[in-house]
Amino acid sequence: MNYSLQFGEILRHWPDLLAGAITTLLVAFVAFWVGVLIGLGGALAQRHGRPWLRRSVRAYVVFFTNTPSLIQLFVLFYGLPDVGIVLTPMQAVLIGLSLNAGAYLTDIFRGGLASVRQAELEAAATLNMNTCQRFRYVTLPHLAQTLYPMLSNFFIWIVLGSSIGGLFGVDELAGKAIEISSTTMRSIEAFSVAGAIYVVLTFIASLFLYAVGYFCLRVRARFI
Amino acid sequence: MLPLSVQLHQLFTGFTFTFLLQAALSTLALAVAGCSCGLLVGLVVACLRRSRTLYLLPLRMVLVVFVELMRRIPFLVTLFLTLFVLQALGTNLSFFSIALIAVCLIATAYLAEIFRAGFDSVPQPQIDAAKTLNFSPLQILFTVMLPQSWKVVLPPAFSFMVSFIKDTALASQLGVVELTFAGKILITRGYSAFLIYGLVMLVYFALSWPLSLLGAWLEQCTQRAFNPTADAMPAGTTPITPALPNPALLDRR
Amino acid sequence: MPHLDINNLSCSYGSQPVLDGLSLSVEKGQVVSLIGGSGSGKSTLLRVIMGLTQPTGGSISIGEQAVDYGSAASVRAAREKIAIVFQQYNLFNNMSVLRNVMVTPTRVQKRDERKVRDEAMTLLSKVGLKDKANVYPAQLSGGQQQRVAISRALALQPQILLLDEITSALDPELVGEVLDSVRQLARDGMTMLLVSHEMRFVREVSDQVAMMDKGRIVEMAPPEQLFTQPQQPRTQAFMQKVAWH
Repeated sequence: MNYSLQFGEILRHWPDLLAGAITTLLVAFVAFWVGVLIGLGGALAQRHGRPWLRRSVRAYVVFFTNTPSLIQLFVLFYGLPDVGIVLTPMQAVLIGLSLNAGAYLTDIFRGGLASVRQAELEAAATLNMNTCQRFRYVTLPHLAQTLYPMLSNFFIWIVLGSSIGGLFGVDELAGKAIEISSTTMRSIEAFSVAGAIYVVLTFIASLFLYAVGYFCLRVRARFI
Repeated sequence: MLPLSVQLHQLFTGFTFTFLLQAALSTLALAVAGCSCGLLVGLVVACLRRSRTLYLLPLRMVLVVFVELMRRIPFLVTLFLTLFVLQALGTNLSFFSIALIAVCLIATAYLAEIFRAGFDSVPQPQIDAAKTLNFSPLQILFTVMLPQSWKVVLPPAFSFMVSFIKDTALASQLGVVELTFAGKILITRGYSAFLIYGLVMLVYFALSWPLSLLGAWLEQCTQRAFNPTADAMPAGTTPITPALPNPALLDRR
Repeated sequence: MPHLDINNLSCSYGSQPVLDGLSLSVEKGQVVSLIGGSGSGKSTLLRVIMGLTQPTGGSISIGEQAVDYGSAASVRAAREKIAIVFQQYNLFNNMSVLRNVMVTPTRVQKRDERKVRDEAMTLLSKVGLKDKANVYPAQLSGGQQQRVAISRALALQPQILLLDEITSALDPELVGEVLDSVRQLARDGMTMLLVSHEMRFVREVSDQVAMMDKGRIVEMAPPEQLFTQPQQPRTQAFMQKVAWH
């Protein structure tokens, strides 16, 4: 009961935490964009691919969305060495989070593709656009418009989700907090400061994404 | 490490398998308890946030801050904070109870937000009509708002609760013997990490997948409810409803 | 003694005055119609009477009882005596027609369920919707929904009925059936205050017609007088503009 809060020692590690926050953003950024690539590819494959491809993409999505990403990382990091593949923590976390994000994003993009109006595609076809042009001028703008709010929220979700990287020794925000809490023994302070940084980080990210959506895509995403 | 054949033999004959099953039950217990608490308290929080009484204003502000914080701090950090704060307060709770408290806090925040979105979907004129008919606030809630918002609330609430089964994996970090931690224990006894975590993954999958299918089915049902014309909707106008992770975060449009 | 007495009522949204010192009284058994351009405050007046929008000044009394809009109990008492039918019907989407009519008498007024059911069926058959009792609002036409809304209001056994542009949202061929129901009510001696753009109907059914402009009543007179010899320039201008069918 005689616990007194002392933030001084945590604040001395301020540069560390800041570096951690930047790593967090980087990890989230990589995982998000790789996920977007996987997601777009997966959604297109599910829509236009051959039956075996559709089925295997579906299996990937169902499997990765129905198992915890923590366990996916465990398998990658602790499991794979048993079969002779050794990954660094950073590699394992990036691969795991990207695959995980890719599965969710495949589902999101699939919904987006299904909502493109057939009439618009037909109109584009009558204008002699080829498949690539139709995708570029009709489908992609539609996806950007309708999915933007979901995607920007998904990015925030990945920022939060990337915190499990800290458990594998990746030097991102949560990892730094764990490290600082074990060296200084001031756990409450370390984790509450880390929590506050997460709040600020996601808030700035939301605000930024809102502004980009508003000015570039004319989409109003909620940021609170 | 033991040879693979010995591992497999021991895994399916010894008590190891029941050990994993018990751990799965513990995972389920965490998820169910968190969700039940979240549903109840989240509903109350959402209702309080709608109240317009002046003397509840401070409470409303606290609730807004609480919900926003919980949704912007990673689950892992919340778990650790709960653990250390409760320990510093001198409470002598088991790891399971501590995880339970953290899980309840998080579920409450997310489900409160889902309820809020549901309540916002009820058209104001419906509420005005009920007011002019002298409905009490509770009558408005139970006879108008809840019956009209459940089809907006149910799909995201259900998929949140399913995803919660996976999220409780993090409780292993506190030392709660649920599925993930049980896997760790088995690995220290000489099993292959690849084998055990693969198995643990399959158990999670077996818990989560049937429920996701049920959720997708429920969503289809709710889309038809009160809307007999839904089947006749022209192609291309169907709303986008992909399966989403933590929908409370994602539906913030 | 007027049944509904509105005295010097004012109301504003922000700095914009919507009702500006409005006075009006409705005698028992009278039908008073409010006409006027959009934005003249007609619907706001009805919302204020029902306690959905707070007045900023003035007073309203029903019977002999003044309504205090700051007090929940007083507003409750007022709503016991007045019922309103909205432009957009506002039937509860989650309840069948019969339950829409029955829910307030049974749940709020705590009256006997069997008796209420009989009354509700009588009301529904009066508006010709007895066979739709177990159907949901979404499956009805606008005109049918509006007649259910009238039955729902009447099931409260109100002393005064407010009708807020009840035909504005309807297709032209559905207007007749709703107005017939209101005519029947007028013949039965129901006290009503209604807002309408159906000039012919207003002229036929009202005892008094009040012309509203900028949140006040410019002129109030029996229909024949107001429609044929309007006194005020604002009323004259309005009469020239409205289409006569």
